Amino acid sequence: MSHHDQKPARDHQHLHLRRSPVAPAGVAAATLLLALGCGGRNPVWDAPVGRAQPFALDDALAVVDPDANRVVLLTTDVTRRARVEAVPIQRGMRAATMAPDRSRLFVVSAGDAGEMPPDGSAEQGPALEVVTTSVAGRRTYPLSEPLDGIALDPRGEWAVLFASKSAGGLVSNPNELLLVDIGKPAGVAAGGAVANPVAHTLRSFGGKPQRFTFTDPLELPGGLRRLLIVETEQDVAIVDLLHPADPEITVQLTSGQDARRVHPAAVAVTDGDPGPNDARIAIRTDDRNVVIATLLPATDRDFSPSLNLTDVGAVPSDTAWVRTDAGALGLAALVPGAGKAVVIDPTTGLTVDVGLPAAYQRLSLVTAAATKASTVPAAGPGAAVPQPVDIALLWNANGGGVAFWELGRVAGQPYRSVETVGVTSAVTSVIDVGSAHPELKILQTRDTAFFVLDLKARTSAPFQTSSASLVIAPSAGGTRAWAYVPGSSQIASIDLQTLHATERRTERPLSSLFEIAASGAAPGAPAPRSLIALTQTGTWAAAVYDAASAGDANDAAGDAHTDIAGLLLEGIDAF
Amino acid sequence: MRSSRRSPRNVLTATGGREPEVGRRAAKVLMAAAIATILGSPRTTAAAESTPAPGGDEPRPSTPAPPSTEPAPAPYFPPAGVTTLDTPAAARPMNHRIIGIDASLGVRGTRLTSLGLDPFSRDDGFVQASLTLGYRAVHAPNLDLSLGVEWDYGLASSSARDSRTSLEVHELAVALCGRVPLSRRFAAFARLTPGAARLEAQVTDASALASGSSPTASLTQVHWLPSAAASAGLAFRVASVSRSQSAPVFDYWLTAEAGYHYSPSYALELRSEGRSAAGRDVQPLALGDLSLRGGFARLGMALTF
Repeated sequence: MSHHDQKPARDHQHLHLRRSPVAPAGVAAATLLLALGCGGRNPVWDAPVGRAQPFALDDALAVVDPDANRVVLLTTDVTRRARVEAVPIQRGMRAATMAPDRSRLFVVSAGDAGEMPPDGSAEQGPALEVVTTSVAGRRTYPLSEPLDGIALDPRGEWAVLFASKSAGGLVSNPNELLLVDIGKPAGVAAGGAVANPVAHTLRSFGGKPQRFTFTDPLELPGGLRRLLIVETEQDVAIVDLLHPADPEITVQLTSGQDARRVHPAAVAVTDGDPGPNDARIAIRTDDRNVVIATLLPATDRDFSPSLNLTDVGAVPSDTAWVRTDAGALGLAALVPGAGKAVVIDPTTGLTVDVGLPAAYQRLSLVTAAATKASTVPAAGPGAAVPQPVDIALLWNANGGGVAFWELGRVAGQPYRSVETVGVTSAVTSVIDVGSAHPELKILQTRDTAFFVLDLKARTSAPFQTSSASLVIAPSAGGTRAWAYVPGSSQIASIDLQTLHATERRTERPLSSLFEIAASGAAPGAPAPRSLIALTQTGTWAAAVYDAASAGDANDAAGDAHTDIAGLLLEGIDAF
Repeated sequence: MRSSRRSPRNVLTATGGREPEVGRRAAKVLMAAAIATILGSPRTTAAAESTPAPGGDEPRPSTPAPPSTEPAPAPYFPPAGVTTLDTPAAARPMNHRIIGIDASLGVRGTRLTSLGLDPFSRDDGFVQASLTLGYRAVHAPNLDLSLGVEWDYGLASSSARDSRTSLEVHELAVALCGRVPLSRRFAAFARLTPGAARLEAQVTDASALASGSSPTASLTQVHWLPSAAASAGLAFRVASVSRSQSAPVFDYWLTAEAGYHYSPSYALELRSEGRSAAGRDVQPLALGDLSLRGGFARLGMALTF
């Protein structure tokens, strides 16, 4: 073998390669490089944003971000600067709702629900969490069951948790309630029994909870009490919140001899006159009867309902307790099928029919706001103080407009007046304006119009809109109303004093609009408020305006805003 | 130590398998010499003295070989006009031209544990391409010192909550490198690269304001910050080539090194400017602090001449 046999094919270069140390060195280096790549990132970066949901607290925009197990709080200051804080919540978010006064957010979570927790995380159980902008106000109530329905007390004292239709458990008892005293922290009573929340299982005759009503304090035979009224599909249960673990009272609406089931449609509650024994619950059903339960003393418990059944001639669509002549209490029921209203005397069960000019379906009392100074009888010297007489606003979602029904009695007729207002469209909702203009109501319709109704002047100012899907929201102070169409870039501001409408354009199509309180006001200055135009595309964006400037057509700074993009990417690094 | 002197030729023989017995014997001797070199034995042999600096401008000594008691290996005759690494030292010309250029190309992987990297990468690894060009300012038999410029480029891209993200890093640094030959083929080196890094972070998201020039809306931040890296490693000379007796010797190297990269952390604050609009203040998207800080490893190829 000659040395020429070893020449490389390219004989103009002699590249002599050795095998030995390269391979292990390469393997070692490759291993090192692979080792560099280890270490994962926070899984929240891979979480989708599709289930996020915004809530407008009074002082923050809260975005429940269930796939990231957190609530994003966006607060603002007087200079429109935004601060984003991520508040962790338990895994497995099932439901979220806001307190009626917008002070708190309630989040119900199932925890790990029997699944393995993520690596490095402790196992989490079901819980109700209270989220506020104040750290001190945040609370967690461990729950015994992974429930997914929540109803809140308008007075902010109680929450009731239940298994809703969407409960995903293999087996769940919809009549098993958890009552949470949200004024107190979670606690365990002596002996290990859970003191808060309290478990309460409704005695069921086949129904399951549909609606929950928390009453105001009522003067009952046993003292001042608050009640939780649970409407099931076929009966009504009354739970004494002073003794939430005690058995409830069940008002069965269907007799055992009748195969037809009567379903409760709504309840109305009154404390009656001062003193016990006249608190009443009116139960509107889906047949032609109204059941009035008077809570009277009982031998085996503090109170017991005495039932009175009244036939109103057709299916009632709405009921309300009203004051009629000389302050007499009555139950007003609208019966659109008969084109009338019926006033029921709760003591005697006698009824008085009131013919109405249209088949009104809905009723709400507007007495204080609608009372004209000239219509209130003056009390002369030595004369008795005149008893209030209620005024009800009637409207109809299927057309027929709006009317004022002034209760009372004048010669020859069982009411003072029924006065229609020139609104011909079907009214879908009546919106209270707020404290600055309690006499005003905004009437939303199915058409491309809405009305601002003045209860005192009995006028209705029409506003034409470009879309029937207009969303109207009064400002917190009631000085103006905001209007927008989701998906558009226009915001309208209606000055409720002058009824002048102005428009501004946002840079992005907005999904929703919120007004929240801003911090940092100078002493003595009016509380600043921010207007947040939220865009729910991508990872969400927000434009923060000064509400006062944005709503003022003459304010040159009205377009000034702070733009925030990638809202749902904020704060993940802190987790 | 005559075996060392013969080793260049024997290496070629062993690799090519031309004379197996001689090759095996030579390999044993070479291994012993290599171990002795790594353990720090005095480089007194002709072969050791003839070991080129990793820079490649090898002095080719012509120390006469002591008498050998072993059978003489088959002679090697390089082609006319071409000098190779394995040319017997005594036969090599001494007049190769030295230019002093070092050029290298490599891949650097850095382990970055900064939480600020999370939006841009699913793991902690950050891979960069490295390009270095240097000049051997100091050349001595036992030490080379070079001064040059290094450019590193890396791009991490991922998604964050369904939005595309990217982090692009350019680093330009002064490369100070010292190399010490360990054996005829191995050299150890250490490198210090102070410089500056340009980081461009981007999130492409529908929530950002679209500008007129870009069809996609994005939030971006470009940030400059100082950086530095210190590393040490081994270089293995794969081959040496020269076209003529007077031409420069081109040495080809494989390098592996490990070190630490440092840069101060900074706040990731991405902005979406969009078209100009009156009255708009942009509040940046805060994604935490990012630092390019961590240990790294680099594999590369180098050419010196």
